[in-house]
Amino acid sequence: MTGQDYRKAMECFTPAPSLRERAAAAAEPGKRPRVRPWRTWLVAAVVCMALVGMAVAAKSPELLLFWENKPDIGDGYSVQYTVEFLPADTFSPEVAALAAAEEPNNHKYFDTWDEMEQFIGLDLADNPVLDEAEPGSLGTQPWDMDHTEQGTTHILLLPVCEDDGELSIVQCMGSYVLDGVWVRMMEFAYTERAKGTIYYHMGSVGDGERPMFGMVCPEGSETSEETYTTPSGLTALIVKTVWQSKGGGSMCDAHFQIGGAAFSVTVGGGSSYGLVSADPDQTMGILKRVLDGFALN
Amino acid sequence: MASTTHIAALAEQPQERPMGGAPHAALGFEAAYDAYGLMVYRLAMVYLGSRADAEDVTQEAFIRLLGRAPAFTSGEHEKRWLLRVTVNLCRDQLKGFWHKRAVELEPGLPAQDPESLGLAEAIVALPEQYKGPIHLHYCEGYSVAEIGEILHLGQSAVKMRLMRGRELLRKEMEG
Repeated sequence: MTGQDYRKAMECFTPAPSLRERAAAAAEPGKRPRVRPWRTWLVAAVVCMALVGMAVAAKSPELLLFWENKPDIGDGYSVQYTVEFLPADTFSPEVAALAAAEEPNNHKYFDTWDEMEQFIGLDLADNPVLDEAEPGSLGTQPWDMDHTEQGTTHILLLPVCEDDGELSIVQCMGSYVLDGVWVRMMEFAYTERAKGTIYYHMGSVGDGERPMFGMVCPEGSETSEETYTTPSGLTALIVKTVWQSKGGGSMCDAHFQIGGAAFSVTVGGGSSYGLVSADPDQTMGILKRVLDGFALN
Repeated sequence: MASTTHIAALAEQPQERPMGGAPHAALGFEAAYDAYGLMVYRLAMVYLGSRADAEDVTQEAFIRLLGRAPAFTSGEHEKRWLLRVTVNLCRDQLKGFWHKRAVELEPGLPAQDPESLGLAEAIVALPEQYKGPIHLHYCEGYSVAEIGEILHLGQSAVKMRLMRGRELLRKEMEG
């Protein structure tokens, strides 16, 4: 291979002419992803609840942005969390070593959430509802998962370190099946090394202080939101999504924080992929049952 | 197909780096995109293998260039800053659960010949840590020292990643 060969191979990569227009529009001041005038009463209510003696651990995400018509992705929304940046030595040395390892050795699977917590050296959250659920299969978007595969290794740990080798993010994902419906939980804990670093995630850009996650919805989805507080005092921002494309389906996402870490629980998916529910009431019911299962210290 | 001696020899020869970049004065979007759009997009494709993801990264890179860039001392300074930002954005995308653990080139891309497409696939399939050095060396013509400055890596780390990346590509292309 020569440089000429390499550059010739790069000719396979030519952007669509429309990218110039998109980038130009996005780069214009005031033309960033549209913020829905987003129910300021909802944000205010959340903030008020946070002020009235609720622990930082129970604070729900404070901001929600919607984006539309991303090419090949469709619609979605971003959630912004307020997390605590933990000292790196909060976590076990094994986590940092795992993060620094070269692919494909930089992630690890576990049979239970407890085993993962023992490995990382930190008790993130207890949830007996999920502990007793059937294990699900790991994947990415709910409607893209192959639900026909289920196994016991349904907890994935994927820590991240920066170029200097310092641990920055400890992220975990668990996959479950409850009442025949797929449930996914994701957790993101940040170390002090992550503070000030702007991470880009699925069209969402944090600001170095508050991470943002992007959540994708199929094209033409209808969404609605609510704030839910569990009997133990956990407050979550719930987004319910219903769509007719891809065989139709519904999904409920809950976004919340425990112990300074960010959490997201998703229930449901597309009806064409099995182990999912097109019934929004069912997915919402399962989601709230899971949320009620979290114990706050 | 060129022999492996080509790959080794290339590393020792000074590269003629393509001229480009902008004067010290800040560029507007159109001029910046003309100068760097293709560069950013191709680097993003190498890392991500997906047109949609590469377009997202390209868009975000230009948002940052026009909105949050520092004052540049030269056009080359600006170019290197943008390369660094693009690499960081790509690595962010690869960090999360939402990206496949093994990056593959999405199907259906146009190619002049099967060999070029095969090489493009092999490049995208490289482990992430080798992509930046390989691309900056072979496509942008940067030296080991310059790659180290752009990627914030020591020269020995750059050399090692270039060597391993070349070896992987050689094995892949030789079947």
